Amino acid sequence: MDYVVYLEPSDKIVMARVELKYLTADVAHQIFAEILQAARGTQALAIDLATVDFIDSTAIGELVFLGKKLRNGGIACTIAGLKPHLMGLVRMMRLETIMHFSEDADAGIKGLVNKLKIEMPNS
Amino acid sequence: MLQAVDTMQILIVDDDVAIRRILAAMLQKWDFDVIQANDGEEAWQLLQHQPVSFILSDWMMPQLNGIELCRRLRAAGLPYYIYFILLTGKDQSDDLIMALEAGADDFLTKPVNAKELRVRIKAGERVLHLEKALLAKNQALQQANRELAASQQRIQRDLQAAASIQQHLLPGSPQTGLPVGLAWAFLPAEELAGDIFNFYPLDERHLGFYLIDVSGHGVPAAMLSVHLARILSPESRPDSLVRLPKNPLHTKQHTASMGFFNLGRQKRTGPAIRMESFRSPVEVVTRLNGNFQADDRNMMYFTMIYGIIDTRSGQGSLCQAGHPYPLLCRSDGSIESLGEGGFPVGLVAEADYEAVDFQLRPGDRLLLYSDGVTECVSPENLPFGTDRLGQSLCDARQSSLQDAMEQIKNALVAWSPRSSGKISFSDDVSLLAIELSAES
Repeated sequence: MDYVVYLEPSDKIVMARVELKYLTADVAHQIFAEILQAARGTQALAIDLATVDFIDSTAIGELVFLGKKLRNGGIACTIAGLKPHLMGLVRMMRLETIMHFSEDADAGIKGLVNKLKIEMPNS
Repeated sequence: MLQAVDTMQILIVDDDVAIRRILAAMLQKWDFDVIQANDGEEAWQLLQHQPVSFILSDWMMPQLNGIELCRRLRAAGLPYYIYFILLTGKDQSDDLIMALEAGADDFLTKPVNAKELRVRIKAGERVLHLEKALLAKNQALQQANRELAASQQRIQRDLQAAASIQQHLLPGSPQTGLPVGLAWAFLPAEELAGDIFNFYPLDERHLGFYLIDVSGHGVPAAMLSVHLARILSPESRPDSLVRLPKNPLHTKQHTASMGFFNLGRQKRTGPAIRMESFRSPVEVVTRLNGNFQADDRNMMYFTMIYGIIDTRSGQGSLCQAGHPYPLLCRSDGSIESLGEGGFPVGLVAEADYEAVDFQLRPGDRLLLYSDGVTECVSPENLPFGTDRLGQSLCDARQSSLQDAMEQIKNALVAWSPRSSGKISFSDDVSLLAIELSAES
């Protein structure tokens, strides 16, 4: 399955845009490993999943584990742009109580900037 | 069989004895092993019991000429290759075309030049070398294929046996001895499923039930689901999560202080329900979550519903752990969705779970289902969805519970795409329905 991860790193925040429709077991581990690697040494990470239509159970597990690793590494994280039916899945699993979700990438970045009291990237 | 290349055998076919002798002398001088035939027919008979991989044949001969011999050899489909050089006095391009079309590999005009013959035989040897190497590789590939096919058959047999064991862990009969109707449907996506469900009487009035969907597919998911079915079985065993161990310390006061099964939130007016022998849904799920935590190497967790219904009062309680919201179709056709979500089991070590209490009345139907039902997509990529499932449940409420499950199953089959004429589900499909009998 083809996917693209666009990384926009700054010294404080990494913005990762994942472009694919089906986030499944085949690719989730690799994608999140790439993102985790890019986020090391920064303060915050925003993952834009706006193009994703479907997330399978294994990919959800991978996402939760990524969140745990980021928390343990002291890196704030937000998942941005999930479609409404996927947010329904998140709520059904109560994941919004252990991870942060934003309506879109801009809101996610702003939220992280406010939370960490850091400068906007590229500002 | 093919001769070793350094002592290659060459068959000379010519009705002219003098030419045969000249050719034989040349070939023997070059260390080839020579055999001779007087014409095509004699060569053909000789080849029946003496395989030769190189032939030098005259064109014009009595009985069977060189062209016909070549055609017959190629048509015979021999298991080894014969390099065929046609010798002739003909030198027109039409003759060359006819010889090559008959299957000859090379063409030499008489009188034969020794040096030319030598290099042409060398070229033929190279072709036979390659053919021999290819044959050896093909044989090795065929052997590997046979071993793979045998291995595949063994795996397939093992998978079928495992699937049969898994099927036996599903409910066998809707009869529980309790005043409750039960029906289900199960359509695994592969031989082995990650879904599993069951129900059982916990005592003379309480029904326990669950539906589990293990993340992922295949053997690992199936093995975990089988293990879960075992520890969720109602038999009194030390590893049973459903039953409380027989311990005098487990008095009613003790279990209450542990937050055990407590149906409803309002003050109870009827007789107290005896629950000393089994654990509440919340405790069962909490204990499961304590026992199973996914890690990096093993990204396995599961969503589930575990519930208990008092079949006399219709009071029920369930715990929803990341699993789709159960649907309750009331006898008047209205649909309710139960629960407000909960953590899947195995993802969050410190997860707190909540009880979802509900009241079943005779004619009401409770439906548990896996996400393979609602996420079943049509060829146009539209999900079946919760609304359509609820509507299907409601539309079938005049039918028997079993017929209602069949109708929903048929609706899913009609909804799903077909691959090579077969119905194809990308995830396991499980449905479990419970209905309180009118006489309860």
